[in-house]
Amino acid sequence: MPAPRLLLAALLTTSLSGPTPQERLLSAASGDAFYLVVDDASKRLSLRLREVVLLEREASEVELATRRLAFRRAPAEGALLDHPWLEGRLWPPRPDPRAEIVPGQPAGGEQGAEPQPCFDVEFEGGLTLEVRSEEGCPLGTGLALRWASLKALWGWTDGEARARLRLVVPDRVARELHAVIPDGVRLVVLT
Amino acid sequence: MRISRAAWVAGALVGGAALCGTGWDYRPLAPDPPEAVAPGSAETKRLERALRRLRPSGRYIVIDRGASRLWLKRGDEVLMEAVCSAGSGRLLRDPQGDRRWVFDTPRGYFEVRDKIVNPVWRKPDWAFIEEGLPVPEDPGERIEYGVLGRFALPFGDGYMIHGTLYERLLGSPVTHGCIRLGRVDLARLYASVEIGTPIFIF
Repeated sequence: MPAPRLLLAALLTTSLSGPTPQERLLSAASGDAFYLVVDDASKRLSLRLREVVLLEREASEVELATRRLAFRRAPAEGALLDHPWLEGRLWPPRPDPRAEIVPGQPAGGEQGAEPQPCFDVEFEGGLTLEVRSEEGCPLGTGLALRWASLKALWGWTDGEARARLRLVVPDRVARELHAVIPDGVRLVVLT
Repeated sequence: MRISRAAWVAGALVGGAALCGTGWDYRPLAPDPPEAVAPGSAETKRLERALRRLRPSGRYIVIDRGASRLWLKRGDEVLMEAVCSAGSGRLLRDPQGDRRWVFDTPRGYFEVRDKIVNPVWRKPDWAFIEEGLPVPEDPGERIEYGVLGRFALPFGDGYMIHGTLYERLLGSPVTHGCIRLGRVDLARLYASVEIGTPIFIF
């Protein structure tokens, strides 16, 4: 293993036990996974790989939600945002139309599904990142997302549902994010 | 045992109120406690150095497949921006067998593996199948000159940044997975990068 990697591994060993923003970033930046960084102070979301900022956009709102049952708030979980969240999956998943080429006919042309202005990214361990357009959601998608949120509230999901982080962004940005966020993405929140 | 109407009403009110008070409770994020941030401490500086070391020290290429854009950067400075074309995402099946190809440009971290002048395209099987032609036995029939432009920058698994005869299609995802650039931008990029230059594709 090359020396920088050894150093990184050593740093990571210590970073997993600590909550500083640098440790969170270092832990997410290790390896070749894409990661999202939500910076609450600047209200910015960036997509990064190896600490290179590939895309950075502003959000108008950043809020964190925990469960409230019969007017009783769930106790604040201090450790909720002090570590990277892993294996984010888009929901609803990005359509994969895969237009088929007919041999002998010219290919060319653009393909691709219409990106969504409202979607979730569900991370292992129970954090869901909600990305919502400032202009609201289309009826069908909005209802589906609301139903998913309700199911998570009542625990009717396969995995754990602990908290939801909502980002409200311009419509164009939401669609852009839906098109570029890869499955398996990590998330770091800086507060 | 009979439950009185008053008890039903009271129960419904309590249940309704409980439901109303149930939901996801959104609120602004609490800032980190000052001791967790520890700016200027030796540990913080050490971590910041480690983070800096992850970033490329020299020039690097960033490609946004969805926006069909390529940037050459050094740190945060943009040295060059170009319209490009990435993979179409289309699917091709071999009508004679079980083979299938999906023409995606891969996402992730790569490096320039070679710098080739006047690249020659050795057409793979899918290129013939796509055109509705039989796959030739003779390797010489696979060779095509000039279609990849003046330069090529391979970045692994057969993927390259190269030129195109169809500059009018730049800006649309139409390739078989490679990145196409226009003639002028390709020449400039070729002159600006070295073998080992990092490529970030998202």
